[in-house]
Amino acid sequence: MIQWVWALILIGLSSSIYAEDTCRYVLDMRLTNQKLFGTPTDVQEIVTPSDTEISCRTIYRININDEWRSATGSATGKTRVEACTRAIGIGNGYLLSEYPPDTIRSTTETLCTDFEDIRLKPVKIGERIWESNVDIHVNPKERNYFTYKGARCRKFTERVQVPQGLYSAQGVICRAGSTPNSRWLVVDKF
Amino acid sequence: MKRNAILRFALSRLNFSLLACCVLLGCGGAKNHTTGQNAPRSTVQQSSSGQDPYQYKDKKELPPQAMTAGEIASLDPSGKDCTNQTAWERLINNQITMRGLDGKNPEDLSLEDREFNASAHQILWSLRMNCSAIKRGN
Repeated sequence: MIQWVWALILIGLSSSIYAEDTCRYVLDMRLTNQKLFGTPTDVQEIVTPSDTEISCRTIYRININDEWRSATGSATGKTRVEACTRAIGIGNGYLLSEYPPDTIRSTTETLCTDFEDIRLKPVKIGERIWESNVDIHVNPKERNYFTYKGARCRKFTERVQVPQGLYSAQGVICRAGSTPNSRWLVVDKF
Repeated sequence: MKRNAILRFALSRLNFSLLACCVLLGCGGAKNHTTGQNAPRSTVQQSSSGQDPYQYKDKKELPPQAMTAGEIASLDPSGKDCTNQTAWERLINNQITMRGLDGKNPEDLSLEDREFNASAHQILWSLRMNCSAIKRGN
């Protein structure tokens, strides 16, 4: 019995260590404005103050060729807002690798953070999510952001597994705050 | 003296008879007010003589009827003016509620309900998006 308890504690400790420290490779691929949908979203920041200025490293999500990718950027400024706004500027951004390290050659550095690894996932009405937890709409005409009850909203599509097979559901998410790192609310799914 | 006694006796008999008649036949509205069984009946009579509570006050507004998935998909509220937006939204939301689909995720629905739900919500959101664009002057 005691052995089982120790085994469970060890499993718990190892999983928490794994969750805290996710390392990704910064690719030698600078972001440009080509084929980007929208602006950087789901921004997570590390701010390091020094004597003279504030340094900000950001990890964010950007949609390139209809696919969500992680990117990183860093910049300095006199204030946190100034530094972090510069850090999500497209010209300062580099793509992050989501592939195993042995398949990548053009990396510049390794970036280890305890930030959440944001990925596509099935969502439910009423759930609070990151914007890039859901895809952009498959129909380009339905992709534009719109305002509903004062909030910035957009439609999304999600492939849903039902007993009859796969079904393409649509939905609407609206931003629950006004900052680049605000979460989004799943307002509708149909 | 004897005549007075006879007259008093006759009057008391008459009073008793009148009281007896009053009790048997009911005097005025006293019996209606005191009997509980009559109260609800009078309420029903009052209601039925006036407006039926289950009828719509405005005869032009018909009670909502459930639509099929095909019928709801054939609705086209894409008018350029959004003055009827609220009425359209109410109509579509009534249909969703009547079918018991409020707040349901598509993966929890049958194929038929999912089609109905998708058509209804598609119309709702196209209305909201178009009208918000018009209000912004786009």
